[in-house]
Amino acid sequence: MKQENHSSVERAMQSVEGIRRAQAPGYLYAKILSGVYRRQTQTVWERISAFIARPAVTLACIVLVVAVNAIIIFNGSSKPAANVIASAESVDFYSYDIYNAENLEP
Amino acid sequence: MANTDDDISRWHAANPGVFESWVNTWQDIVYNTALSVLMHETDAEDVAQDVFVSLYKNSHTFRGESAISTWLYRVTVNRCTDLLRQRNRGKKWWGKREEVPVAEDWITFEHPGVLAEHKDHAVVLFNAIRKLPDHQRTAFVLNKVEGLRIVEIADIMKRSPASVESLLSRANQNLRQWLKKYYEAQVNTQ
Repeated sequence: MKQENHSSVERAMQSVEGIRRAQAPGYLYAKILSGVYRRQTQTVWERISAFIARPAVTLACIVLVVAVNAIIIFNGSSKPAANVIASAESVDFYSYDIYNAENLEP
Repeated sequence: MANTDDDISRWHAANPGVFESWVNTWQDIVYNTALSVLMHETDAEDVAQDVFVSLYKNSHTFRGESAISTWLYRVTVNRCTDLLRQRNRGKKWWGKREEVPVAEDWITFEHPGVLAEHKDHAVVLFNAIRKLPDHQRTAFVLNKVEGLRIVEIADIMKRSPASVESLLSRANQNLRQWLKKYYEAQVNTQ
């Protein structure tokens, strides 16, 4: 049984010995010319849209948008806190003044 | 040299019939290589079309026919590898590769150039070739099916001859292992 398997393996390995080259179908040249023609008649916008439609480009755009948003959110989140404190102080300051001004005794 | 549309058109206008003669000379080589790697007629035709459209765009940059043949082989195997990677991407995510062929993964590809008495064994061998890693498969097909020498394969794959020899040795070893498992499984199911 082992011997039989071994000879099958050898016969399979040798099955491409003497292999001839497969011939291209007769219509291949016409197909190539249609591909060349299609490329020549493509407008700039068609080439750009074909480039944008590639999955890798689309994915890269999505990642870029998400990254820009993340940067804006994380950078922006620290600034409003400072503004709130500053505005709170200023409100206190003015309200204090107004209160004092209103309650000033002649 | 700038690869503008004007350059391309000017070159083809100045060299009428050259591109057609190139296609006639090289189409069988490109188609046979693509067919042996992809094992699918329509895919092989699409790759051949794509390769020759690239040749049309780059015609004005070539000096000498040997440069063209090496370039054509290189572009063909690269396009085939890209296509196979694209197809296998989904399989890798959704399921593990089987070492021994299962029914749904089995293809009955018959290379038209295989001798009649070898056809049955060649179907099994081509299923084994499908399982090889990309570089091993490329080296094996170029060597055994296209009949190229190691130096030529090294030039196409941009590797040293020693590296190609190592790839071929590993390819042979892997194919034998896979075939052994396959025939053992066949005996067990009988």
